[in-house]
Amino acid sequence: MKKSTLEFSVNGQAKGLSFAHDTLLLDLIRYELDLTGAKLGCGTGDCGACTVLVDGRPVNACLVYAAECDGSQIETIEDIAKSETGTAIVDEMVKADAIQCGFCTPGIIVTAYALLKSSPGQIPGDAQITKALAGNLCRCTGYIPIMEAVRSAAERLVSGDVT
Amino acid sequence: MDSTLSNTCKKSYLRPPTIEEALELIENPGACILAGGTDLINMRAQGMIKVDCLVDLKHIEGISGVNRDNGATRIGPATCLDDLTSDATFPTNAVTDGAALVGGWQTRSRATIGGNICRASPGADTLCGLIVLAAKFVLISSAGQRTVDASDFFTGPGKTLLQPNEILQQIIVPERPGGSAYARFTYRNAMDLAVAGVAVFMEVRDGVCIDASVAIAACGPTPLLVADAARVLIGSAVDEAAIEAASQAVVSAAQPIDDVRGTRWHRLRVLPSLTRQVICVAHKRCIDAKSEALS
Repeated sequence: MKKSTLEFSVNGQAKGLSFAHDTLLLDLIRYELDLTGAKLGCGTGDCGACTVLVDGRPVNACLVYAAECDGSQIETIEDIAKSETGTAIVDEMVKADAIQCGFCTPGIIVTAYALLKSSPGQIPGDAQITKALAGNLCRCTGYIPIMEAVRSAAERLVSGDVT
Repeated sequence: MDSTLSNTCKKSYLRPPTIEEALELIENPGACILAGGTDLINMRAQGMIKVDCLVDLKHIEGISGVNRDNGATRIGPATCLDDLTSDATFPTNAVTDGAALVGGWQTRSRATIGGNICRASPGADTLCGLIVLAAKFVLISSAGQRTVDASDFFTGPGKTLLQPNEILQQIIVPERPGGSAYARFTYRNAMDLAVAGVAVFMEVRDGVCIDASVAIAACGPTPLLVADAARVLIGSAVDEAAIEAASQAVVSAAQPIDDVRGTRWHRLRVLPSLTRQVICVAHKRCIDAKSEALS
């Protein structure tokens, strides 16, 4: 099978990689780059466990061919969790007991990060949080602690209460 | 056929920079147009379609974005649904209502309006809106361009007038006064597919409806235009009796089947209330647009 060499940036680092034309972005991230935070859940774009950012937008990495990302900026949970916004979300998720098995957690944090980044300085309402996170399924905790965590993280960021 | 082209098309991903190059590439056997990929990747993984060569249209100049000129909104087919719903030049209407309901944010960040159109699912959420807004689709092939009405484009589940050598190049939504809306019935609030959907466009002058259009989703082999429902609205004051008559016309025109998403019986049962709701929203938007224009 024909392999392509493509250039893109993952977590701010330029990468040139060769892979088959139909390699999924998720497989490239997990198996070639060893970034295993993004999870394969459903593989059909329903659960959001594989959410990463491509050019700042949340996408299901299981429904994107890696080749489509030639020239794009990819951000994964590994880097997002280290950012100020990401750290605030992670801390609040832990505080709110919004994690049990943890499989959905990276995807939820990536989507919540995209939400907070899309409206800096604002605290999203419940309807906005629900709409943003509708594509991230959690089968353990239910969504109330997750919503609390996203709201608290936004409040902390707005008030400047971040480390 | 050009043999070099045929070779480049073997098991590959191609990103043509122009529509002319894309048209050449899709002539190759096994070539498949890739837009957002949110349906294509699933269908390919399930073996529903066989693809040797992916022709990604997203990087063609002018294939994405929304522009307003000459009395029409021109939508690039590779515009993702998330961009379509947030575009200030395309204020809330039946198409943006539908686009906002598709999948989750992750899906709407990738899925395109052109993909939703060409996939031609009878339950697709943007198609009834395009039909009631009298959208036209510009199709291009190496032989030239042709323009078809959205109301004629869909010929069956997954079937359209688009020929294998053609690409949907532009969606044209004529600008006209009035308001429109789309809503659907689903068992979940999000991440679901329409059990039934209704789109309504209407224009009201001096309290009387002077133009209307009604279309329904997931109630037949294609999105269906319900001319009888429009007929009873036009000339009415959009009062209770007219809304009731329009709802009945929708039920009479619907041809739903029993499938995994719902039964025929249930679809026919939810259609009247859904129709009433959508007529009221379209009517309100029409009135609001008028008072906004006056203020």
